[in-house]
Amino acid sequence: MSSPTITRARTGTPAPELPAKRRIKKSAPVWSSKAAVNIMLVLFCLYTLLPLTWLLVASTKDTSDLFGTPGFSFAENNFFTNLTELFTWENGTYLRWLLNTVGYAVFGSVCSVFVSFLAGYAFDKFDFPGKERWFGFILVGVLIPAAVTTMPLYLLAANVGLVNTFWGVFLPSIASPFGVYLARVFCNGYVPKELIEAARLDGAGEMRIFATIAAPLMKPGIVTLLLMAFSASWNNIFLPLVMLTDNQLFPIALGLYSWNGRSEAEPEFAHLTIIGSLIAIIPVIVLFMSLQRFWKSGLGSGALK
Amino acid sequence: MVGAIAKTRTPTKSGHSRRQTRIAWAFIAPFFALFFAFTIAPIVYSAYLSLFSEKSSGLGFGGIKKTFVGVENYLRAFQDSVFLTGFVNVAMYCLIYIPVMIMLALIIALLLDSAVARAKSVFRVVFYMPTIVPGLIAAIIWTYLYTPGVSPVVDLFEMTGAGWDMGGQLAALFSLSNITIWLHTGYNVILFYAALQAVPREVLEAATVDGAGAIRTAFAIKARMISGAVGLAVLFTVVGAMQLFAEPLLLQGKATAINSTWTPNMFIYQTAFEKHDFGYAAATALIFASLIGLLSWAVTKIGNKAQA
Amino acid sequence: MRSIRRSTFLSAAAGMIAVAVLSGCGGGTAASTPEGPVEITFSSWLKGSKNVVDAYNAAQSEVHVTFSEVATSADNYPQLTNQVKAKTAPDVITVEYPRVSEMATQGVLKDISKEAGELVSTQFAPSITSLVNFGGATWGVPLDAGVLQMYYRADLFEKYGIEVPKTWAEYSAAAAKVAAADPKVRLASSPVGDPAMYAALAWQNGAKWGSLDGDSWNVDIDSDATKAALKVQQDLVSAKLLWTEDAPVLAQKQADGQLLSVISGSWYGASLNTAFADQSGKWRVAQLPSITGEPSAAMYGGSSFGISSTSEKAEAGIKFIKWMTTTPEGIKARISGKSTVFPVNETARTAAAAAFDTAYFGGQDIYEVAGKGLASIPEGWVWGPATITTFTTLVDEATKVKAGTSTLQDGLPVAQKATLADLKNRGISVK
Repeated sequence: MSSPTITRARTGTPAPELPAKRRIKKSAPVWSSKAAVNIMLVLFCLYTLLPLTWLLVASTKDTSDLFGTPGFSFAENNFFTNLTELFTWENGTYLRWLLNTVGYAVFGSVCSVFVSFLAGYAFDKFDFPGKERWFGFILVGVLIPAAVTTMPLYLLAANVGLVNTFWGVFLPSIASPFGVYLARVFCNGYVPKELIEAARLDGAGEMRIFATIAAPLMKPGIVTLLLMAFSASWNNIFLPLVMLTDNQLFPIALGLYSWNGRSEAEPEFAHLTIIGSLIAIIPVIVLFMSLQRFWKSGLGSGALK
Repeated sequence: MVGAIAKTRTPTKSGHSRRQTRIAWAFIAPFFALFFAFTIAPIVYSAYLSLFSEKSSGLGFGGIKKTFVGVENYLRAFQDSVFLTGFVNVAMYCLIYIPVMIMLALIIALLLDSAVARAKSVFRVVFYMPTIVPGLIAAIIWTYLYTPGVSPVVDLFEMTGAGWDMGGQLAALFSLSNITIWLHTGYNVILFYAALQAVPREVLEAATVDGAGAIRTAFAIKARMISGAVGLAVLFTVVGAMQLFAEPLLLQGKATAINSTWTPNMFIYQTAFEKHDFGYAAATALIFASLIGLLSWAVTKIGNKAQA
Repeated sequence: MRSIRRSTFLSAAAGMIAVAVLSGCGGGTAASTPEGPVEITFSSWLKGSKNVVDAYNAAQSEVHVTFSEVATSADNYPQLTNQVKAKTAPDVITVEYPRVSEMATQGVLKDISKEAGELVSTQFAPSITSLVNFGGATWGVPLDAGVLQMYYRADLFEKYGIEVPKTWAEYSAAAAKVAAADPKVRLASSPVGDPAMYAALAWQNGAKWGSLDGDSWNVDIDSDATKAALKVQQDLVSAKLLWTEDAPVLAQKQADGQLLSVISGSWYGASLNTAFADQSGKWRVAQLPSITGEPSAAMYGGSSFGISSTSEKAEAGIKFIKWMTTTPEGIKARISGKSTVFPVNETARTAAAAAFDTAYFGGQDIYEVAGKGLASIPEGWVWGPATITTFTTLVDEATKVKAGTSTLQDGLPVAQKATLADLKNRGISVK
């Protein structure tokens, strides 16, 4: 805060030749710093795109070209052969993994966000005894690493027959303490309490108020949280790795992990892993691109409050 | 974070309070049911398990008996050099990864925020892309990029005469950090950039008009103005980095210094699921969790002090 | 022993109840009618398993097997332990010899002395039964032996003027000769990071990593015999006479004819056949070189089938296992799935040799070579119940060997210590 005053004090000594001087002095730096800034951004861009570009090139190669030709040069184009092989391998296991991922990540994040917003809304808009203490309890939950819960969770799940089932991976990822925290922040920011009070006076039921008045107002927050929940599930490898043994239940990341492991002994799995990785991330990139106005603003503002 | 919300709380109107309590709990119940079943119950069970050990006798073929051993598992953990080395590894990794990643994200965000930057929205979309790639897939791609004979990166290194060596602890730390830097920098760029957009323009304009160098302005003023966002990013990065699992798991065969117990998380996984020593795994997991809790608390404290 | 007896009794009782319930509510489904086949499940990663299951289901109607594939042998054991905990384990499971006593002590394998004890003792040689019989009980039925031998490119051996080595000294000399002739070619690849190979080489040289001494285990990993065996390899690695690249790059070198030989188990023939089909007719098999020149081999891999401890269908499972391991039909079905399985049961082995298409090996009778190898394996090797700890320790130590800061031999005392500590922690008595 102090720097503006200092600089203003300096500008307070105007000299007639200053404008000219400034033009000369500044034009060179402006041009060069403009180039420097953009070059640095482009360099970082290239770094970001490097692995993805390689993935794209590699996905056109068969196993022997993959290990036999330079990384960035195209060999014989086998992209469609690889693609066909990917989707027909072991009776379409890959497609099965894609569908599982939709179940775990898409359906799972929708449920997770719904549960989080119900709780976050209640914490923000209702008063009840012990409210802040319960909320503090949830905040402690934010800090619990998955590594601690996964192993005992597995043993508990074994007792109730949840191991090696869809639900064994799906259910544990729904309750997200951080999701509840953010949902409360969003409710606080987007939904005016007066609006709720007015609806109550009109005699609307609480569930109705939540669904028809609050939910539409919280839309940007909902999308942000959806993206976050999706990322969390999409990235979670520990839980599926432990819970699932039947490869028909694998999410895509675990499936690719198993293929990658097999490629050590059986090199023909290498190009399947590569094209499988590419196909897995394309729909997600498209999804995030189409929702960018939400994560660009929402993500920042949400986390910053 | 908590304080901001607590302040906005309105005083209770005792009139509806009982009805409100009932409805509030109906809203919160689904979350708590799942939270207790899948987070709290496992932790309690973990604490119970950590007091037991599965013992055989004689040649070992007579079956396994669960034996109460008290704090023996905890004592064993504090003397287990393999387990403790995991913490050293992660600490070294954090020392490389966190400063580099946060600084890089800050610099890129400042550059992006600068008036002379072009095509900002294109840059932002590109920078965000790695965030969407699961850590495991990123690690698969990068392990190929670390493989001589396959990777253009290795070719480049060898062309410049720098050579390529994936042996040694440093190579392990760098190859691992590179993957996570690639994965997470973009997200933090977007976060910092959003925070920078919220800095009042008048403040910045007043500072730039008369030639306080653009770079100095950027660092002196802008960086300090978003210290809250940076602190938060550091907190999440520390907690995330401690739990490193998928990336080193994949790098195991490539970066030869990374073994099967290189991070505490990998140690716990191996103890539980390959050695079937669940009691010991539970004890080490709880020690690990307490440390993460302690560390997050410390980072928050330091962050608050720095901001004040 | 008492707890095993009780659990057998309990599971038998549970099985009877299950049968009673099933037949009680028997409606239209085939599985529940008394005449219908017994449904069992079976998991494996072994080549040709699917073919075996299909052939078995087609050949008889008493037992119906459902097969589930396991990706790799490395995935197999954590998966089995997890499945047993969750009571979802398949009835019939595949366990390699090094892991039998571990899986037995961890409660994954069922004691099948009653159902299969006689089968094992009458159908297999004593040197093999010692790999599945522990503590006075039978835990598995042997399928094959991964006889350690040398696969080599006959055409390239001729090109570089190399004789098939009889001793490790000749082998080392050949490695030097090849590397000198063409720096882009190597005789073989490095075994660093493959503890099962260390064990096999030690075994060949007369080492015994584990043995039973009354009511306790003996662990002897850091022995002179082991050190001598590993020194041969370490010297070659230090002299940069072996490829040390990762699997995919190595595969490329092999495809390009830059790798002249591979030391591996008798099952490796199948991998050669599928991965390098275009090199058909160029490969041959020879007995492993030894230090003295006297023929000596070891086992590198080799599997047995057992019943999971949670299974209630041991009897039906054993019927299927018996068919897989001891009948010509079972072996033929496996070979039709491109396996080069080397069965340890006599009848099965004769059938395998007859069914195998020798074209890939230029007409060489690879079963004869493996048969000689099997006869020359030193007796008395026992895999202890902490083999996984031995192996993971050696793998972790290998990182230092790869970096050049340690040797293969240096890893042995570390593995010895870790193995002992693990056994003691589990309450198992050690000498």
